[in-house]
This record gives sequence, structure tokens and C-alpha cells, in this order.
Amino acid sequence: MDWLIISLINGVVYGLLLFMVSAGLTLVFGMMGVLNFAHASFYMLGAYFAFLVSTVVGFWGGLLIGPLLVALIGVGVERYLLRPIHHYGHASELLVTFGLAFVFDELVKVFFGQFMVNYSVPASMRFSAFTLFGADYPFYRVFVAIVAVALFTILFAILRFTRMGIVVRAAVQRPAMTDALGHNVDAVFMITFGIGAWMAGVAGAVGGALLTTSPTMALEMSILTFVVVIVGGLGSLGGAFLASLLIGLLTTFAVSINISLLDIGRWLGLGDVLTGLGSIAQVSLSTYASAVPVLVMLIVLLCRPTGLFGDRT
Amino acid sequence: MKKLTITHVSIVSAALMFSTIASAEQLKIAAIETMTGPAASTGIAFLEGKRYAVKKLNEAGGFNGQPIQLVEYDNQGNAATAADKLKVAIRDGAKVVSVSNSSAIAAQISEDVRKWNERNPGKEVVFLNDGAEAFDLTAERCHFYYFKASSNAFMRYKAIVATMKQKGTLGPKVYLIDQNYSYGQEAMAAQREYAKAAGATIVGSDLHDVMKVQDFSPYVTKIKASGAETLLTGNWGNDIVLLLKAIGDAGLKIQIGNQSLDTPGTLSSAGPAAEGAYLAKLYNTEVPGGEAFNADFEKEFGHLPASEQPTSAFAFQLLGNALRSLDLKGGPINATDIALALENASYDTPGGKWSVRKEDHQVLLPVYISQVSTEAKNKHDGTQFGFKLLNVVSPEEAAVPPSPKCDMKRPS
Repeated sequence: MDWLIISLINGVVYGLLLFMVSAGLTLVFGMMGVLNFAHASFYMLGAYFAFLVSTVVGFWGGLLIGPLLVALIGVGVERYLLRPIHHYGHASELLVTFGLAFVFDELVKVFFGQFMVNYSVPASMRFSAFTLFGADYPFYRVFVAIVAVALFTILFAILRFTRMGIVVRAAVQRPAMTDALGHNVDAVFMITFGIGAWMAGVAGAVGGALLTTSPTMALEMSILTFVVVIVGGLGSLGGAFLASLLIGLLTTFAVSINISLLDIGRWLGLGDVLTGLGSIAQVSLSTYASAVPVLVMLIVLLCRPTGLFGDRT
Repeated sequence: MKKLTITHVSIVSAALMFSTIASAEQLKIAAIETMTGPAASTGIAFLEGKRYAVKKLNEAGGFNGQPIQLVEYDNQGNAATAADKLKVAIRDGAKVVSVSNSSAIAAQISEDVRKWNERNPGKEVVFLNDGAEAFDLTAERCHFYYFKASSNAFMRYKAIVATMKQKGTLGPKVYLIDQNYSYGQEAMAAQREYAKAAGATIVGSDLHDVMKVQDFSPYVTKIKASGAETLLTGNWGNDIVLLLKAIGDAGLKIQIGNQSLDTPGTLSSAGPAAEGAYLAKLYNTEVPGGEAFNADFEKEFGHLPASEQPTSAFAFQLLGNALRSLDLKGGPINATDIALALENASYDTPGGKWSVRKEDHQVLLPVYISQVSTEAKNKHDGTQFGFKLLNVVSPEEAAVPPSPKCDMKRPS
């Protein structure tokens, strides 16, 4: 049963990393109704900025300052690109962010090159958090989980219990009324978008060191973040949290399952039929592990089109 | 831009040299390579090798009394664009086409060249593949105008496993991880075959999606549980880095064999987990006798030949030797003559002879096995590691027999 517990921990950690990236996306959508296609690019920028800053002031400095730079870019994007076209509706916003994703991709290549850069966990953090069944579990993975949980708690608390959260929620539901009551709705939207970008930046700064920091990292992550947000329900923070864990765990466990269609068929007494299918039936399920998130999304969309916790369609 | 200028200058200066005989047909070689997009880094490495070799050939007198012209086309990393660029190249008068970067693109071009040659007798073109490793292009899809001046997964893993066995680092239990597409599947078949032949047991194997897996720790948990001492993996790009990182994180000590650890960024991102891993490559700058080539290449491009550049450089020198054996006396260039000359061609590289095998047009070549080590002469990627040369597996030992499925129709 060692592998079961280790896989469980691995799945949770991976799920929490996914949550960190997706949280900002679902926040911006839930608050502003903007489906930000450039969100995964903010994740990538977070990793590159953290890498850049860390070469000067060390890993922790990078972790702190990198995401702030991303937040600044996010604020700029909202102020100068999204706000002017806000009146034209969501399709224009969507197209602008879609284009931005390409621009960020190319800019990263221009400044940092085609290859991955050397951004990794500092030696001072390369130790084992605990020993499980004779195997060391790296501290940094635990650290990733802690950061994710802390982010979730802070965000949830701000939105639910603070005055600022009330204003933000009010600005989303009745922007004209909130404006009339003397709140600066434009500023609220700008800050919300900035916070969304900052969260992606934090995920990039933490995740870039755990995984790789390369020009393709945005592309790789963007599908997963959309899957998480859709499964969780667009705009639902709690939904995104649970969907991330679900997808993290399912992907991890799918890798461990060495069963093929043929094995299942034999068990059901259909072995001969499936043997006729040829090699397809013999491919182990673990081969399709990376298709699991998309499969989950498909099932959720079929059964519950608004996602697990969504109230928007 | 600087690199472009070098080629252009060399063409211009060579053109001046040959300007006395202007009437003879000039040989145009089309390089349909990936110069933009995610795979551009590898494509440009191959291009540098081609530019270098063409410059050398022109300095040595060109072909047919004219300098050889290398015309570059960007295939943007996809087979459909490559097919379009092939049409343009043929219209531009290319007699030799070269593609290196991807097996999918090479398969497309090989098929298109075969069809073009069947439909346009007398206007044939030669396809020189100097990088894409797919085995089936020299097996069931082989044809007379296709030449494979590179290795394949079977040659590389035969060499790796042989060296591991010789050095006593091949554990009795071997685990295989590969990407689920043509190359990864061939790599897994090769790893399985040679590890078994060397007396090892395959305790587990995984095929996974290409560049989709973010977290390799579940795979590492499986490897650990299997008790494997050796891991053979054909992964490249992010997939090898993430795998190595996960292995390092889990503190798993395992002997790794791979063919892509020298891609820029790999060693620095993977960190200490890569130390001791074996790499199968078609050149290593540490080879005795390679000093002249290393220095000359560095003079040209400002860095030592690494990664894929030597493959293309040697492949084009091989082509150059084939051309040298032809004397057209300034007459028209015929691709069939070039193909026939290529069949008998060979080129002496610093580490051994490259020669074409007539049966399937696979080039027999030495495979270099090196190890990620702090003792390497040239450090890589800004790390303290480099690739220490362990063994040069001779062309005869590295060769795998031609596939019985190759039924080549030769010109009568």
C-alpha cells in the first residue's frame, strides 16, 4: 500500500499546483466575466520574472518580486487594453487576451531564447520533509502545497469577510449602482485583474522551479487551467479548488493503473472479442493518463453543464 | 543574422572564384528546415551543420564548376507547410532536398519525393534525411531516392546497452519510459530488444503523451516500486527534464540511458539528477582526432559543435564525397547520378567512417556513448557537468540489419 499513499500525496500536491494556476483565472471570470486566454502566459511570466530576479537577489526575492511584476503587467493590461474595449462585449475581450497570449509567448522567446532556462529549487530547500516507507519526500513539494492552501485561504477570506470583498462582489452584480454609491468600479476591476495575474505569477514562480521554465510552459498549462475552471464551475473558487484536487488525483492514479481494455474484457468474459480489436485493446490505461483531465471535463459537461459548483452558464 | 551573412559571403566569394565558367548548371540543395516555432532550436542546429559543410565543399571547389547553393526554406515545424515548400524548392530547381528535424515531416517529404520522381522521370530529386530518426522510412517506406544520413533508435540503444553491459552498469532489472508516438514507440521496441538480449529483465514500461505530462512523480513512484536499477528512456525536450527532476526529487538512484540530454537547457534544468546518465549521440568533441573539426567549427560559429550540428555537417560532407566522384564536365545535373554516387559514398569523420548501405540507403556510422560527468573536458549549459566520452561504438557494431520489408526499386 506504499504506492497508494505516496500517489495520494503526489496527486494532492499536483492538484494544489493546478489550483494555484487556475485560481486567478476563475477569480477574474467570476468577478469580471472576462475569460482571460492570456492567463497561462501570466503563469509563464511569473516563472521567468522570478528566475530573472532570483539571479540578483536570491530565490526568495524572486518569489516575492516576480509575481508583483506580473501583477503590474496585469494591471496595465486591464487599464490600457481591456477597459477601452469593455463596452464592445466579451467577445472582444476574449480576442484581445487570446492575441496577448501569442505576444507574451514571442516576447519570452525574444528575451530568454527558445530553450528552457536554469530556474530550479535552491540547494537550501533541497531536503526531505519526511520519510515514508523508506523513501524521502522532498520538502519543496510540501512547500508548493502550503503556498496553494495559503493562497486559497487568503483569497476566500478577503472575498467573504472584508469590506473590500463586499465592494468587489457588489461591483460585479450591480456596477452602475456601486458606482453611484461612490465606489470606483474601474479601480476595483483593475485591482481584481491585477490580483488574478499576481496569483498566476505566484504559481509560475513556485511551479517554474518545480517543473520547467520554458517558452512552451504557458501552452502546456493553459488547457489544464481551463479544464479545472470548467469542471469546477466558471467563477467558483471552491469549485476550482475541488476540481484541481480531483484532476490531480485522477491523473496520478491513472498512471499507476497497468490495466488494458483486454484485461477488463477478460474479466467480463469478453476476451475473444477484444483480442480481435488488435493492439488498441492491449494498450495500458496509464498510457492515456494525460487524457484523463479532458475526459473528466467531458463527463462533467455532459452531466452538469455549469460545472460542479457553477451558477453561470 | 550573422550566420546568414557567413553563408552569403561564402556563396558570393565562391561565385567570384567560379565566375569564369558561368554556363555550367549549379547544384541547388534545398534545406527545408524548422526555423520558427517550438522545435526551431533543433532545426537551426541542423541548419548550422549544413551551412558549415556547404561552405567547406565550396572552398574545396564546389560541384560541376560552380559553387553549391544551399537554399533555405522554413517548414514552420509542420508537415503540410513542408510539403508546400518542397514544391517551391523543386520549382526553384533543387536537385537535392534535405530535412532533419522531425520524423513526421521527413515521412511527408519522402512520400512526396517518391511520387514526384515516379511522375516526372528525368526530373528526379534526391532526399537526404540528415536527422529524423524514424526507422520505417528505411523499412517498408524505403525508396531509391531516399537516403538516411543519421541513426535510428535501434542503433542508438544497441550502442547504449552494449556500453552499459561492458561497463557493468546495466542492472538486471530495467525500466522503460517513452513518448507515445512513432519515435518513442520505436525507442521502446529497441530498448526492449537489446536489454533482453543483454540478459536483463524488463520490470516495467510506460508510454505517455508527448509534452503533456507536467508531473512525472507518479511514474517515478512506479519505477521505484519496480526495483529497477536501470532506466532507458527516449524522452526529449521537457519530457526528459521533468522526468529527471522527478527522479532527483524522489532521491531515486538509477542508471539512466537517453539520447537527448545535450539539448540546451536540459542539464541545467535537470540539475544533479542527471549526473552519471548515459547519452547516445553521433559526435562528441572529446573524440581523439576531432580537434581540427572542433576548432574550425568554433571559428565559423563561435561555439563548439554540439547537439545536432555534426550530424548535418558529416551528412553533407558525405554528399560532397559522392559529388566529387561524379564528373559532369559542366553538363546538366541528374539526381539519379547523384543517388547512384551516394550509394558508394563514404566520409571519414574523426570518430569513424560514415558509409551508405546499398540495401536500404541507411548510413552506417559510429555512435558515441558519453556520460554526464564533472570530469568532462567541455562543460555544458553553464553547469559543472559535461559529456565525458566513454565509448565510440564502431559503425559495424552499431549497425542493425536492413529491414526485410524494404523493397527498393532501382533504376534499370
